[in-house]
Amino acid sequence: MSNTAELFAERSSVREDLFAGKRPKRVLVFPNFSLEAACGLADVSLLDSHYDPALAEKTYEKVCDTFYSDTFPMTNLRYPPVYQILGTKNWVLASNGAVQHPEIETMYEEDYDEFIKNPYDMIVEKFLPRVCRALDTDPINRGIVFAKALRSYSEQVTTYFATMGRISARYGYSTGLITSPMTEAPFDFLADQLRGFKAILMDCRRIPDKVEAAAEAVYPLMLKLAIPTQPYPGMQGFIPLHLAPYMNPAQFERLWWPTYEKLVVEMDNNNIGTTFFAENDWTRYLDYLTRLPKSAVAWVEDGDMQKYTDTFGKDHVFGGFFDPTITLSKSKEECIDVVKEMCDICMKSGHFFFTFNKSVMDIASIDIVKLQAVLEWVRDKAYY
Amino acid sequence: MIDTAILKQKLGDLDEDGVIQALDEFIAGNPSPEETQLVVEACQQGMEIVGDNFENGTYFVGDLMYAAQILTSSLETLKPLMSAGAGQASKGTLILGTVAGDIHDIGKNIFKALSEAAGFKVVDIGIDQPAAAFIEAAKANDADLIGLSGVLTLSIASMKETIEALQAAGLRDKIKVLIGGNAVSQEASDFIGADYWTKNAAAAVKKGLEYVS
Repeated sequence: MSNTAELFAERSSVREDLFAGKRPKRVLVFPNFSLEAACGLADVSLLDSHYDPALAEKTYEKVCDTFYSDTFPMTNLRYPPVYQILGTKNWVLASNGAVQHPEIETMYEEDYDEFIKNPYDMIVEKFLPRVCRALDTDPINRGIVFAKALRSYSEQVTTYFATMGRISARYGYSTGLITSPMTEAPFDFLADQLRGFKAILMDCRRIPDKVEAAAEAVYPLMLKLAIPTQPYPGMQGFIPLHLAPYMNPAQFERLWWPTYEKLVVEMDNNNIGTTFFAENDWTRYLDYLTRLPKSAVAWVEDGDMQKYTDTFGKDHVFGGFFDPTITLSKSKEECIDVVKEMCDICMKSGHFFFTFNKSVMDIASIDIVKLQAVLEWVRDKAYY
Repeated sequence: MIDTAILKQKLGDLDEDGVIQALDEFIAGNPSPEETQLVVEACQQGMEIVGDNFENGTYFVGDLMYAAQILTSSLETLKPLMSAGAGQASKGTLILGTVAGDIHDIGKNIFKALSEAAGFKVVDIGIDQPAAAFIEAAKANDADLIGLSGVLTLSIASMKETIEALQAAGLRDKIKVLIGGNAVSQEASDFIGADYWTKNAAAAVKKGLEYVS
């Protein structure tokens, strides 16, 4: 058996045990880098990379050669050529070429009633032309623009996943934490893509009944996004969680949680697990998260790791917490002490994997040598 | 005349309808600029209650934003009744912006609203701003404080560059630099060289007041 095949078999065994609820022999290592960081590391122009998917192979390989990982260590969810064709206002390039999501208001307060009655038609007919400048035209040109965007999206996605597949085969990576489409918590979709962060939080105070009805109305669309047209074994979708830590407990319980829980449960009923990214600190909501089906996996940005271990981690897979930017100011030994302490706490659950508290977005925000040492320490020492 | 203690508490309780009603009744009585100034101060003191409740965990970011919205609307309502040049003396001048490469502005805007409520003159230079823009604004406005905001980890490098540029421009010793946002931490602050870091806008306002007192 080749070295790559052995690596793949060993990593897959760790990953399969983890996801099957068994204690694996060691902690799965899953670092995560964005395209921006990968380009910085590979000395490839980020703008060139956005528009020339062929550059991805060289860029991704540089990350794989530099940092140890058990799974493909990069995520690329954003495709600027598509945004350019559509003229999006919700995805824009900052001065450094990084794709970012600005605060937008696509749906106005007076749109609530119509949206609650028919969310899909409102999104297609009213909101998309508002948020995509190029779709704000006559129906014929709108169709042409949409077709061009879809074609571009298909090409980008195909190239990205093909590259990811080739590299994973070369490096013997196991399957990752996300294997099926991304969706959003219904409330977060309302906030992030329709009403905006500020407006939705004002709505929660002023018109909570409408917010509650709107989250219910959009729930079926969020579920549909999550279910692949051709189901396959081992589906694990992705849900980045956003607004809840900014809400008060009463708002969360009434407006945020119910449709999210329903979504995760229904995905589980369709044999789709969820890997959710708990942005910010969700410690105060651990009682809720612990109620989710066991197929729900937490990627945690911040919080009380002891409480995660004692509650959510009893029956669920979780990882995160480690801030890679500490490598800029701490010594290598201190960085390893941090990760060792984390493993000492979280490995007691038997359901812990190692990842960063969020993707590395800028290679200048980490010390490469120290981060290499951290990843290799977890690989070599974090055995059960 | 309005009961300023009740108004202050209504704002502290996030009772938007109550604040609007109280101000409507106040305006209907044709108040003098001096009386209006007292009401403005009561609203600002109400924000202190909100800030305290945020710090002790009773209120959350959404509550803080709602309070800032009530305050802003109240001040807009009262503005025509104030005499030109009236108002409290500024507690100090704060240059505020999101650093280069980052376009997020929600945290910046919360901090701006709280800082203005606390009596600072705030010069908001916007998002995705290079070091030179902070320096230019600091020189033009004789700044006491600079607030650097950033959500993404890429803002760490930009914050460090901005502070180094302040140093090179000879401004660093005269101006305290506060950094805030999801990207910052003690370790990041050590690397960046800021005077203060936080993810809590209310705490940053208190620290700012300490610096200028």
